[in-house]
Amino acid sequence: MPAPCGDSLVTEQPQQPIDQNIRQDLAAGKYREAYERLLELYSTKVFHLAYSMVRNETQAEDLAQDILLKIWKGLPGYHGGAALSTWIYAIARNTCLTELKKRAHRPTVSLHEPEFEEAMDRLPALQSTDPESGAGMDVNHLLEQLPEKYRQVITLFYLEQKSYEEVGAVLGLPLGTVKTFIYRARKQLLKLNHEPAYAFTH
Amino acid sequence: MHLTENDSQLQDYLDGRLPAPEAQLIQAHLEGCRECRALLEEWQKLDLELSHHLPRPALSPEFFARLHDRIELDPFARSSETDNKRRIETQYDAVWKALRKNFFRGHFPALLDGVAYSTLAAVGAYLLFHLLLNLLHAHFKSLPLSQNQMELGVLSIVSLIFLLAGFGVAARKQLAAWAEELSA
Repeated sequence: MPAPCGDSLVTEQPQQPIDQNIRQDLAAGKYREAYERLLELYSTKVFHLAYSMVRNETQAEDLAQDILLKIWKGLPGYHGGAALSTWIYAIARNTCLTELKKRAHRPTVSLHEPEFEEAMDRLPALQSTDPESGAGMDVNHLLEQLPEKYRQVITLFYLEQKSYEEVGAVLGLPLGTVKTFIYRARKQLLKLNHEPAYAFTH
Repeated sequence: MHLTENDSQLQDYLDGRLPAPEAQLIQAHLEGCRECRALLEEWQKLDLELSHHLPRPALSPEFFARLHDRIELDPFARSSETDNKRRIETQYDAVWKALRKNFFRGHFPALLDGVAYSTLAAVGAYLLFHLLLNLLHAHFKSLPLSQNQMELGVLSIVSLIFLLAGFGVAARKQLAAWAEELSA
């Protein structure tokens, strides 16, 4: 049974003093120190954000590199107007969006072409009869059917230890919106699961 | 209080975000309601599937080494705190250059620049010449020099000052041009 009462605020609090340390380092002009601290705190989150947008580990890592490099270059321009996390996530989102737009202009061969997927379905090795290994594949398959924004939110939600606050901060969305998106995503996933083609349970 | 009637409450319950009293109410209801238990079980099953079977991407071990390499390669990156002053100076220089380019060059073509500078120099020289002459007259009334000799002497001093100033400006411009060439 899930534990009642929200303990999610606990995950937010330890960040504050570290953010404070980073700000102090920045004010003192200690950019290296500030950057190292910042990397420790935010590189995984930035990577997760990129992954939730491009859904490819290698590309997400390349994007995370670009984002963190931008953040390094931008550090002297950060004057503490917004919270550090807000500033970092805004840069991260913009970099990802620019990359996605760029990609839309030069389409590449996708593994999600209908012909390709059909061919994959016909391969006997991938039609596993073992419910355990089959289950994992199907959740991801179900996820592919979701609208982009729901898929992104739910991916991030499970990467960030199911913290609504974290997802909201990373995506720059209000808490209520995050909850609604996750709720709708789950509901759609359940609905899709009832269609026999995607069922993951036996 | 059927869970089906209020789905978002179901999600709050599932994620452990309901306040204790409400959660207890739901728990009590679940004991007696098969329908709601089935619904909750379905949501829990989905939650488990997602928790266990979604990919968990991780940064590769060489990620940070690669990032630091890229930072070292970046021309701005060598600016640790000691270099930071220089970095700010370059930024000011760039702003100043842009201002000059957009403002002065837009309104005064290079030729007018020259006219403006030489007029300034002429007026400055004239004033300086008379200032020095008056000073000399006031302090050295008994100098064994004729008026002409005095004027000639002051004139050469003033010319020397302007010559040096002009040379200094030119040298600075040349140095800046070389620096730009080097950094390009």
